Amino acid sequence: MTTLTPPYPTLAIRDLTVSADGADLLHIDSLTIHPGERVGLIGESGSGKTLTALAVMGLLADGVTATGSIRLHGLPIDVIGASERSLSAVRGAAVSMVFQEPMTALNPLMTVGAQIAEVMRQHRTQPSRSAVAEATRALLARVELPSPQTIARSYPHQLSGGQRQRVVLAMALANKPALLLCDEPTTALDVTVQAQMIGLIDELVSESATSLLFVTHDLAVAASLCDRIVVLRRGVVVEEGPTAQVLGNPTHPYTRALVAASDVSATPTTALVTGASPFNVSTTSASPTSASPTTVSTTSASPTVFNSIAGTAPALIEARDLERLYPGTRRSLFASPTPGRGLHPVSFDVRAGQAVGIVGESGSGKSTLVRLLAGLDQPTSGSISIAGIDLATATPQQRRAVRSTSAMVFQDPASSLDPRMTVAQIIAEPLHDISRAEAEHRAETMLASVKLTPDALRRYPHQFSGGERQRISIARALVTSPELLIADEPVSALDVSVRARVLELLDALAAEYQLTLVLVSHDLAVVRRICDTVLVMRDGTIVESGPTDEVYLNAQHGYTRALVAATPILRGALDRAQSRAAATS
Amino acid sequence: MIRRHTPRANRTILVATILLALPVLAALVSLVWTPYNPIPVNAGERMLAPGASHPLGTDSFGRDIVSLLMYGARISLTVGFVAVAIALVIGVPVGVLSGMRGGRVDQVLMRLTDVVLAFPALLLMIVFGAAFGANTTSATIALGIAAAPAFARLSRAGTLQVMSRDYITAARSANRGGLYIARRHVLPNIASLIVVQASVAFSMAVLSEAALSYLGFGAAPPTPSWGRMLQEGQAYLYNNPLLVLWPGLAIALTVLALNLLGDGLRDRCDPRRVAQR
Repeated sequence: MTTLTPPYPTLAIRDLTVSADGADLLHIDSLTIHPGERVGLIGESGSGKTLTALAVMGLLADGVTATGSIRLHGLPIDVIGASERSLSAVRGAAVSMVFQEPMTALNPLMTVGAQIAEVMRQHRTQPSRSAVAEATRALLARVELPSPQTIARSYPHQLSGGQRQRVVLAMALANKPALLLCDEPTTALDVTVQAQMIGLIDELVSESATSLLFVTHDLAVAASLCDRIVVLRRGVVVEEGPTAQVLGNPTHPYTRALVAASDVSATPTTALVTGASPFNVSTTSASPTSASPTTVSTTSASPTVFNSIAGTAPALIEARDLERLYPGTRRSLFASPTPGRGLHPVSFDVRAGQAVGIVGESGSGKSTLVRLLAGLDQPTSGSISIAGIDLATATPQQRRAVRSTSAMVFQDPASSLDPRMTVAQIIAEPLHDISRAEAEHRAETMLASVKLTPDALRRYPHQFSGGERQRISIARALVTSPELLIADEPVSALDVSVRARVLELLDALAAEYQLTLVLVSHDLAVVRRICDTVLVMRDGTIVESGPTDEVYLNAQHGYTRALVAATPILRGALDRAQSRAAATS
Repeated sequence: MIRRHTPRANRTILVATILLALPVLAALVSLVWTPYNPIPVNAGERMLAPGASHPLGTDSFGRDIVSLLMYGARISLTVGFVAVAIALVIGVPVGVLSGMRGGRVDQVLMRLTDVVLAFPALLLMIVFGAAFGANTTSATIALGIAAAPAFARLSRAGTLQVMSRDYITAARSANRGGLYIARRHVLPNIASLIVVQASVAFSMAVLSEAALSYLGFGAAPPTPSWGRMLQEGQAYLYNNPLLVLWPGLAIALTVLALNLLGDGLRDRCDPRRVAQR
């Protein structure tokens, strides 16, 4: 096999068109990645980012065809039209890929060590069995996993999400690829873990001078990692160039809108885009919230015991020493159950009309708290009362009453709407004992208030985009005019450009319906955008609470500070990119 | 992408319906007319080759095969439909209840299901035949009971999947009760699974009835069914393979038609696969 050597590019795409069913899904005139270069491919869902990565790997699904040319370093023939046999010689060797979801990228029945070793054995890149074992340990150490010996013998489920992604990265780097493809490798990870992961990719890629094609929807992540940015929109490259130029000084209106939208916490007074924008947004204006500025007592020294958010309005939610423990899982019939995660005693008040943000990473107890607030679960000890009804001692009737004063909006727009029901049926579901015509009328009114047209009524959820589904979900939540709206990660599954508008809508509706809003998010920026008060949770306790800006700008607790620091911010990342570019030139 | 499925689903359903219409029509017509009387033995016309008077020939008792097939369709189809209906009525509620309630209820119901599943289906039918007489009724009931666990497990798995969805949480937080959730959310979403299973179970029932008749526990002689025809033809397999070919073809085509129908219906009743607007 002839090997291309520098100055030949690592990847050269020419005139690539990917199509399915006669429709063109993606067209790239020219994309070249030179050795050691890092290219960020950004765009929203459906823009063709992942399709590009799959085309490069020769992994397009059946029925999806590619024309044009994709030349890879190390492969003497064109990827398009190459036999499966010649492709598998380069996959995992000269080119390798890191996927979004590490749990599904790993085989649950094999130890991670065996999986890394397999990659090397497959391509015979190590002379002997012992060399493979040695290299496996070295790789695990390189991706900064503690005690590589132990990790190599572990199964994927015994590792955390971040550790799993490190293992996937180790697999990808096992054969010293010339090109590493990363498809949203940090999207499924917690913020602080994401920051570490990006640092690690940065370090390893520059160490081995590997070229990088990094696919992401997150501009800040792309900016902190890539030299060059390619912006894709509906399968077409709309802008490309050096990171600092494309993201710092975008020329295409779509890129401008993306850049503006990616800073969610920014006040909406600066209109993101004008009427003729690619997002088709009407000019946004600041919507005043009904929630008056809150006065917050200084958080007490011991945050787990009591976090009072004092105020004048009556408390809608009163939680005192609220605790929810889950019986742990038994490893075997005879083992005693391991103590599970849950919620350790927390106390707080939420006054009517407040917008409270709950921030924390996975396992912090956010979801447990949400279930308690929604009346879907009962505390193990302590008390929580909503609108004066104590949930621990509530009768079934009272619990029903609590549920009817609160409503929920969920994270995943794909799972929150029944695919077999029409939008009219979905929105009217919470309305009991009501005529069909009346239900339809109410549904239509709600649709209008979430800015959807009445023709949506007869359609099914799959006919809507993620942002539209989230609007339908909000309409269903508000159709009973609840007092309390619990939004569980309402925008984290949405594209950046849609995110800001859904948050704005929530904010406006909270004011219009005089809602008390509890918004759960892993993203501080989202909370900062619409909440006046924030609770930061970790390991089932509240570590810090207070007015959002105060907590954000002047965090007292170390964890909060780490969280703020780990949140990728486009501006900061761009500044670093600029200085990096200046240093190299 | 979405539209592509629709004509295909419709075409599948059309082909399946035509294929299925043949045995159904044959069975209906046999109620009033068959070319010959399929019951009495006619020693003079044993094992005639296909010809003008007997298009598919005659069997070892001299009976006209076309008439036998028509009459047999009646038995085989009835056994299939009734058995599937019994299996559905027992299996689906058990599975849905199990999946929605979880915990103790789930464990008890599923262990019971396992017990029935572990009991060899053929043995169950033979026991029923021995206890209640070797006739089609007892065979059908036994077939229905034997097929129920598959429906229960499938419905439970489907229900568990549906119950993990956020729209169930939304319905619960909107104070909707279990019956409402089962009716509006769970059943419509597991319907496609069940339709496919029903078509498979029907095929199994037709085949099992054949096996039972073959063993002498299904339709009592001289009543013809497709299975009985196979059994009787088996003795002459080498001399006259056509005797097993005809009932074999009838069973194969019916089963094919039902499987196609199951697939077509599954695609058809999923709004995600139906044309937009």
